[in-house]
Amino acid sequence: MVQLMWKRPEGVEDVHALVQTAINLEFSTLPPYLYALMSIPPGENLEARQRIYAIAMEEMIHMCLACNIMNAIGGSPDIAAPRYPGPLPGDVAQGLIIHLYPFSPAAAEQGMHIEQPEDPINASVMKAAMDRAGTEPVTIGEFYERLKVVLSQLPASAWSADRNQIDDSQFFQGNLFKVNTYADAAQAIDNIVSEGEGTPQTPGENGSPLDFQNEMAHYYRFKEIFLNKVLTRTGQPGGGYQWGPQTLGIDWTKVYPAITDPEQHDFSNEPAAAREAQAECDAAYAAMIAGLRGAFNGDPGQLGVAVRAMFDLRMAARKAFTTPLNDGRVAGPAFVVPGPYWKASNETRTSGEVA
Amino acid sequence: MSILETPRLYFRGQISWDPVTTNNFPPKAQMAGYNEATTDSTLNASPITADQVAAYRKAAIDEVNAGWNPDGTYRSKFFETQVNGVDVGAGLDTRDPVVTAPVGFQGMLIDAEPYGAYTSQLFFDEMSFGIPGGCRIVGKRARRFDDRNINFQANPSNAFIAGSASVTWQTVFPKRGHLIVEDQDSPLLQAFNAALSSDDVLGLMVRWNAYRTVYYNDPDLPGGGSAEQGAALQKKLQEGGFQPNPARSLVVGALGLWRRGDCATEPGERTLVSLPVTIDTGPAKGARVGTAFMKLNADADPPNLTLDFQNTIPCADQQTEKADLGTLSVIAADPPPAVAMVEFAQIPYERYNRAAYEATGGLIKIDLPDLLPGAEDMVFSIKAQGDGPTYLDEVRYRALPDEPNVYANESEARQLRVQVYDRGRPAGAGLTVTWSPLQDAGSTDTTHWSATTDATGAVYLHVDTSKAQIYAYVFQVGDSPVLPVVNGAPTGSSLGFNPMVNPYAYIRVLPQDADIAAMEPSWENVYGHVLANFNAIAPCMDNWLRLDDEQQVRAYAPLVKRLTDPAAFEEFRYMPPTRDLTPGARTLLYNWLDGAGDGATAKSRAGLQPASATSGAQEVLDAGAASRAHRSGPA
Repeated sequence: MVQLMWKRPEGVEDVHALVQTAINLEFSTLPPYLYALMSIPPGENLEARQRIYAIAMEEMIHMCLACNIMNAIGGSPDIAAPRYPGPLPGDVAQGLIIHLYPFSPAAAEQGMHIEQPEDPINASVMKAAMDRAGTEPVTIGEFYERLKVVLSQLPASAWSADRNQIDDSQFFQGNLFKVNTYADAAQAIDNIVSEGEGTPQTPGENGSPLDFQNEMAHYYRFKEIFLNKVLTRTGQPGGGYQWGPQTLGIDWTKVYPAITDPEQHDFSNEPAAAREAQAECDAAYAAMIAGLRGAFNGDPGQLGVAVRAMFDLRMAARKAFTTPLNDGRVAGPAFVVPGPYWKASNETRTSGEVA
Repeated sequence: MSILETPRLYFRGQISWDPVTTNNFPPKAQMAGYNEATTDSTLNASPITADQVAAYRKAAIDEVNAGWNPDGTYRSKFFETQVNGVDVGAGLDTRDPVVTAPVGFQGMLIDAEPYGAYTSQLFFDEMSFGIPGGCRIVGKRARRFDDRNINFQANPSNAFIAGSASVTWQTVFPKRGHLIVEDQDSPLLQAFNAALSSDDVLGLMVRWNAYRTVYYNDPDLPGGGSAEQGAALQKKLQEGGFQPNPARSLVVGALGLWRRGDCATEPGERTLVSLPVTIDTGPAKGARVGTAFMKLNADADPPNLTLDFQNTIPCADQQTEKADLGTLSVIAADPPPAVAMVEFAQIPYERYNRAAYEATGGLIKIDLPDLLPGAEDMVFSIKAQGDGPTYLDEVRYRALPDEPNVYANESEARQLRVQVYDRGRPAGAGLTVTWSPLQDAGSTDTTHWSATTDATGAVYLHVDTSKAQIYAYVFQVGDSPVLPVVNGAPTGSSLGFNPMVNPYAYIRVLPQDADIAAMEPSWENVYGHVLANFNAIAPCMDNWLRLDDEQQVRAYAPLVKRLTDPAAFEEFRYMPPTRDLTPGARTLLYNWLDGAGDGATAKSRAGLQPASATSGAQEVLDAGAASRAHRSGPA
């Protein structure tokens, strides 16, 4: 179970830090999901591909919404590249180490762990806990619920209308909206949670695997993939779901023979084409992150630049996934940023030397 | 028959529109333009060359206020769209399990005639109602959506670009063509499945209306546009990257049965055509009532009159409240020469206001327990009560083309079937159908052709492919056609064309470009004479391939060939999305992709193909019509 560090905020900067944790968390889900997605060759495992693609798109939206919240309360979103393998950002328990798995049962199961639905949250217990000073680990679901409470307690003067907001004018129509008030922020958080976990359990309600738009929530989509069974309404009075009988037609062998966690792979003796592909992936990923940073810090045109880089990353990844290493396997994008980031951490990525 | 009988499903939501607009302007109209006859992008009226692409893009950005979307993706997608009701015969039901299911659609918005406003199409693969594991329908199209009956006076208070317009879209999903109806506990879907077992039911038909279009995501833009919005978009475009600027519209629609004899591509039921009556007072001043369709369901219990008002009542404000025309009278008259008239039914405002419109997909069912004998043979109209104006008059015969937009290649033998409908049903033999080119305003050219319907009520016309061009035929039934039909205000004896009134088909004839086919298959030629053109119109023709990158294009040769294959013409991902790759350009591209070293030899290998892609779609449609199979339940 992922556990995030909760610190009772003593001021607006502490609230910014909490929102930044949410941004980091949402962003960090993208590389593992995209790695699994892009490791599926064209035309294969279509049902699984569609599900993972939809999840990845929604995670991008979640990250954008979290950035909008940050801007609305006067902060400056940062887009930091997480490392793989590694814990989810803020996971103090480090009970779940995230890997870049190619499409596989392990990748699906990892997605389930990330998106694990929350047990019903007892509001009064949570409220009492929040009044305690200091820090404590909480689950992702509770983290978001607490964040909502904290945001609701901010004075109206803390909210700036239309500050560096990105809406759905260009991308994600109907899903990405400006956050100008607490109500907008609460809606954003509800969307994030429901799309990940389904609509929540409340007293008298058992919850649902469907989100607020009646689409299947992420956890259940990953579990469908893991089980290779469609989650199906029973159609019986009172509702209910069952796994199958329809399958997703998954063939786990229809995947590029990709290594796990390419960041840990030593590319120095691999073919030049493979190193070049890695370098192209790194460059596109870095450009994407730079674009996102600009977009969420007052230059909305940079969002289109980031999207263009995302397409470049997709093409570079396709190249990487089809360029053999010496042992016949392939390596997808490592999702690392070459340059200052790496120098700052006194680490050298062997593939980065090619660029 | 069609969505005007039960069972049927209603949906509503929104759609985004992201077409590229750089090919909307003829040479000389703008610096960055397009020659739709030769299919050339033009820079300052001359065909684009490889080294002018950047200059073309700069010009397109400089002219963004005219074009509004030089960096589009062509994609159009439903969002926030859900099933909001069903009717299995007992009226609106919002408790069926399929209600609230999301409706999924994504298509490529392409105009057959890029300059014009009457030929929009949505190329797509599938449309879904519901999600896997729930009760749902997934239909694979036989043919793209074609728009029809555009009403440019549907919402005068939303005047920016085409914001004042509303338009109808229709297609069908043959039951043989991968139509999935997983009914579970849904009475509606169970009714669909039961009906689909009938030989008379060919599949499902979907029809929807798009209205209240908003640009720049700003519903408050004035009619003349906004320099501020244009400047903001320009700034983004100048930063590079990928900068779409989609518009968005509201949508209401209905899904019902597609029966043998129903027109697949546009509403073919009994037609109440829009009369030239402009609303002259009130908040809808300047608006016009749009063409409606109707069916008398005499065999239903109780009998009913069902009206398709999806595109009929104009809006009174930007919030899309419907114009209040008072209680409308449905008037039925005996056929000429008799003059007896009766008020057949009334439609109070509550039946056509915004709430009603959104609840039932723009359809209005009026029960008629005491249906008049012989009512089927009467002539209908809809008018305001008292001395108020008549808005809609029934036209008995309509000649509708099987293909509203036809693509052909220069010199290709090509035929178009046109079906005559008599009060919404296929007509019989012996009717005269006249077709004439749509002429420019002021023309006196009365060129036309005529034929007599066969036993199926159809005529076949040979499409003129003698030269590369885009033109329209307008169809009239009867022995006294009005000629010429002109695009604009009529003068003298001519007829002014109105897409809500006059059935028509557009024909796009692509040039053969044999000179391009014969070129040496070098990258310079391929880019300069094929890909630069598309790279100029939109720098990212699709969002994955850099058209100016020789290595990338070559690396994806098999995929490029698959996506540009004429057999893939109807597919969502066909390239180029604009459907204007000429046979000669394709030949040169394939010769290069195949690695041919000699142009002449390679030319004979690839061939100049008579690539009439739409004929392939027609074959699918015909196969669907002959089929009785359909899938139901878990695979």
